[in-house]
Amino acid sequence: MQTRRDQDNRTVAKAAVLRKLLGYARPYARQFLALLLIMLTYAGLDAAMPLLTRAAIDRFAVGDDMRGFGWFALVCFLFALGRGLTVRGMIATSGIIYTGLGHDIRRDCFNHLQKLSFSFFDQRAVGWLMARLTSDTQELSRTFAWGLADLIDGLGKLIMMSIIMFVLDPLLALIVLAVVPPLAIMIVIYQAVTLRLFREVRRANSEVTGAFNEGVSGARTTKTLVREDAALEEFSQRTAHLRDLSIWAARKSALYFPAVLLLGTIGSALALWAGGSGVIADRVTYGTLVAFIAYAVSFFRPLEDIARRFPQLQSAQAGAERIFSVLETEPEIRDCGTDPDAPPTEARPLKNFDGGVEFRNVDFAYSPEEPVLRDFSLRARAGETLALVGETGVGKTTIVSLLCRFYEPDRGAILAQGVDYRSLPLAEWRSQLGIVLQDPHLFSGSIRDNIRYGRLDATDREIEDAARVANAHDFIMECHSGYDFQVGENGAHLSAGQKQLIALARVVLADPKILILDEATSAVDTETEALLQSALDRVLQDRTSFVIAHRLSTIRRADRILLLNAEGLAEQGSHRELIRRRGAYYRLYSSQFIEERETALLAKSEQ
Amino acid sequence: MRDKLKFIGEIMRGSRAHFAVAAAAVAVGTLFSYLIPLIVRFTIDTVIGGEGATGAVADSFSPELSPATLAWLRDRLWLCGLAMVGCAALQGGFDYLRARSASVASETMAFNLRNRLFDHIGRLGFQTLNTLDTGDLIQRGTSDLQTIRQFLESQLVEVTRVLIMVAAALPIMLLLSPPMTAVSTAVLPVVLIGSIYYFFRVSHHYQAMAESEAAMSNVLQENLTGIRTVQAFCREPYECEKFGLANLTYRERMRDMMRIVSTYWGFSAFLCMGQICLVLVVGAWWASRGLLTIGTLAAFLTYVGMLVWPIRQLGHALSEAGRANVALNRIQAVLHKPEEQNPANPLRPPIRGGIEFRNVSFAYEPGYPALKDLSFTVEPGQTVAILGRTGSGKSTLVNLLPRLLDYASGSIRIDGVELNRIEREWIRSHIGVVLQEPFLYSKTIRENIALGDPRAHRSPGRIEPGAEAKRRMMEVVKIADIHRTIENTFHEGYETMLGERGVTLSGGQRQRLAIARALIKDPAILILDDSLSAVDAETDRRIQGALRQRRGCTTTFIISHRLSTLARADLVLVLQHGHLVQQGTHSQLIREPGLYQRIYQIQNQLEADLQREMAD
Repeated sequence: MQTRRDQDNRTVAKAAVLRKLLGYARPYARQFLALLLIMLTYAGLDAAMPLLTRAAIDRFAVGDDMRGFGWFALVCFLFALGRGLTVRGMIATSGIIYTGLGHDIRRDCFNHLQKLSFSFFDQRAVGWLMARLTSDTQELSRTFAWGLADLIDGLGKLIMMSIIMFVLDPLLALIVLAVVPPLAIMIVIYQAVTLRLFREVRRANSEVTGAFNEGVSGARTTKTLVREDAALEEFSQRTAHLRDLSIWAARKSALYFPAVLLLGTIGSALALWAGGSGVIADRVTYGTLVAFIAYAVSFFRPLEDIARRFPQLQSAQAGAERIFSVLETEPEIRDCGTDPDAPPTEARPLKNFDGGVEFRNVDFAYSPEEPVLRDFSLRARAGETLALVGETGVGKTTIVSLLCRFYEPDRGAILAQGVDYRSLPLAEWRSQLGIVLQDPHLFSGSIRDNIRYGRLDATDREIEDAARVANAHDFIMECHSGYDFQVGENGAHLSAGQKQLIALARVVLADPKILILDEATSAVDTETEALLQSALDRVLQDRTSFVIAHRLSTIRRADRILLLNAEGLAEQGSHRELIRRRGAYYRLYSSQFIEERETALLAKSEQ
Repeated sequence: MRDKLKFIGEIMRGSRAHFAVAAAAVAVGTLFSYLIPLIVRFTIDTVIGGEGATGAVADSFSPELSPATLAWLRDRLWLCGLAMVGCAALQGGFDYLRARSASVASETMAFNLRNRLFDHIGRLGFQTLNTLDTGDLIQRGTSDLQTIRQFLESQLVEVTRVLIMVAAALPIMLLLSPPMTAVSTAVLPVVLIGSIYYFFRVSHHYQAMAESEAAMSNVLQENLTGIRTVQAFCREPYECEKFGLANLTYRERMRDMMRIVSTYWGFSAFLCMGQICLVLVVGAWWASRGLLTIGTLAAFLTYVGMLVWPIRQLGHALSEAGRANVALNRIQAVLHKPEEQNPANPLRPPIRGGIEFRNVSFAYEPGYPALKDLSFTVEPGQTVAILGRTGSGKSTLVNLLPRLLDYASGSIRIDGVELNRIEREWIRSHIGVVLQEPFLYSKTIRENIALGDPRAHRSPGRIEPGAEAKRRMMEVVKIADIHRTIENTFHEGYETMLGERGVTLSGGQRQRLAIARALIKDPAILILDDSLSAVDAETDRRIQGALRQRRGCTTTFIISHRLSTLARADLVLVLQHGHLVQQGTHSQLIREPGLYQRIYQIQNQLEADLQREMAD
């Protein structure tokens, strides 16, 4: 992969992340407020539940005073109802925040990505970007929405339970709360340890997945090397490692529940002892005793909830930094048409552009150590067909990428009718160009949709006309659903040649002044090849064309051939001139000639 | 069904005892967990309250203790607390045992199944392998297996636990108070049925959500891979709109899901809480009328709390069982595919490299022969070049030799021995195969080459760079013309890691490395299946030259179009539609009218063509 300019992994400062995040939270202010109230109610109900028990025992079971029992029953019913409603409200409200945040961040990221230049995409794998917009975003919004609910709930419960206990009986409260500090310490340690353990397990697991993957993809090679047994032994070493690590981690984390249970029960036992003594001494009521026993065992839940959320917050924060680093990347190509930050040059729209362009003393490098073009100059007359030939890596693709303004020259300029193209609105410049790439990218959808991509407001009639010009119409009609044929992901249901024909039709529909064609190196079947050639004859006419050419027929037909090598432009001229020179072009032509003929002969031999 | 049970029994071999221990630990642990509320009840009612003090009905569950003992206990309430803590410790201990055994059992099972699947895939026939989708196989070996493991580790034990809890709680509750038991379980069936209904129904909605998510990430992926096309056509606004729609749809599907989830959890929380409150209200009422002791009420409150929440999760466990079943089916389907078989009493003759094809035919599918009636003879040490178009049967022909494919009719003799009587592993260890797109392992360059060395990889794992092994490696890397590339291009030389976590080699480098790997075997037969296609002409010439030096000891099959390669072969085979249309040496074939001659004449055509063009 080409690397260009170091701006990698620029992380955004923590405060900035928080500020950004609050910006995204803003539209959901009402939901956040509602969530706060709901969670506090929920926590309150939970914390007050033992009070109900206490009342039941002290007033009715022990007190024998049945006045107000109806009210008590009603309150109980309301408690249950309240619990149900708050749970529903919590999930619904958090759900709105969670889904909304995710949606908003993804939308902004996507829209921003559209503005970034190729140098950005050169540096980042599609998978990396996908992860930012899917899993990272999901995790961030999830932690933000549910984590917040859990934190409010946990903290609310802890505080309310403590207050209730102190109000009921300060001495008993102190005794029961004595187990809270060790409980809290244990929970924190446990979270830290398991986090590390399970990270290791996950790593071992992904190693096993990798090894399995290799085993499957390399099965044929393994067979020819007769090392099935050795492969199994290596694999089983890894799986054994995973097994042992998993069991080890499970054993460590299996200690957690017993320990928490024990501490909680110690709290209850203390309550029973101290409270029981209080009951005997008539200082404490039965109800209070039962309530305290209940409180003692329920302390660990909120503590656990809080402790579990912290590591998640950390990883969500790391995710947020990565997401925002994408969002904050400045587009390298400043569009003077729409970008308010662009240098204040006056946008001068092209009038009656004829397609003539000039490269004037252009320098370009993807990275400072590896210059690709140095002082490159070229003038293409309107309507001229230029063939770019030469080995891979000499800069043919770079020239057309610069022309498309996917990159901009480091030095020098590219001029259209004497105007530096950087002073033109980007969209206007690109609408003058049509590009057919070597392996054209098609979008999943129908053939019609794909051709229409060239001009969105084209009628069906115009689409068919364009397909006819590109010689695509006939094969399209042979597809069982014609123009509605679904091409599959990146045109997987079509052959390479058919994809090129569709891409050609797409460009014909756009009707650009300048055409850029990167010819396929891979062999296309003879029939499609003939179709392509005759379509190209029509399409290249009356347009300035830059063709990265591989086929002799295309090269021969060009008005001018540019042979590039590592030093730059080695030879240029018409086919005849260059053949007469018997230089580098002649050698290239000869070897290509033999290869093409051979392929053709072999192909014919099969018919 | 019986087949499946047998299979489950098989993969659980070695872990059954652990599962039994886990189940037993759940049972005993549950019993102790039930003891704690009983101790609380006893302490409150009997020790603190004194019998009858709260007007409790006599029941059969309080130990008969003399008033003196009770008084003694009342002065030492901490003993009751200690009993609670003791029970909790035992419950915790058994829970630990449960978690530990369940994990050992499920991990052992996963280990066995994983290895078995890996081994089986490795031993599938070449043709079977070609029909299977790699991504799909990997999914079966990883996520499907994980589903089963998780089910065994958590859900299976969880279901057992709930069943034991219900089974143990009911008798205790019935002993304490039958009417109260009825009250305590009144709502539970509704919770259970609701939970099962919900978890089975919600999977459809999950599906819809997952589909809309997939649709969204598809739009994203297509946009990112086609960003050049998008920008070239200035279709950014259009793309933003397209993604916006998919993004919105996904959000709405998630919100639909959230609505269902929140309704279910809200409603079931209401039911569960309602059940607890019902116990509280009825209990308080009955206690006030002297029908129930306070301790019993407290005990019932605890029991209800223990039962109601796990029952709410039971539907989840059952729906997981459904998923685990599907995963199991998918894994079984792979294991049912046949492995490669050796003939009875396979032969292990010495292999020198003499080959004779007599009327050999082969078909991938009956009725569509890929090779038809091939006959030719190769002397040991000769070089055979095969010429033909893609699909003419070249690769099929060479794949017959290492018995990757088995010929249907005719006869192939290796040094006079019928090939399909020879053990597969034996013949393969004497043949070096280099494919057009060779597979390299995620190991170092040295290890990748040494893999081919039968004398070095007796013991798998790390290979010691002994002096003798090193000499052999130097020899082959020089023939494959890769030594200088390794030394100059990679900082770590031969210790450079390849693959996912290492460097990626170019096509030509991979081909040359694979040639070295094949040569280090010192094979009697070497097959180069278009394996110099990515190497430039100069390097190709050097490698062929070095290979020729070795000639005489290795019979070599080369699939190639390069005339220089064909010209130097001892025998050229020209294939067309699976027929052997021409065979002979270069000098014979150029005189024989046919495909070979026409290809040879292209050279001369070039000049004629140019002359004509210039004259126009």
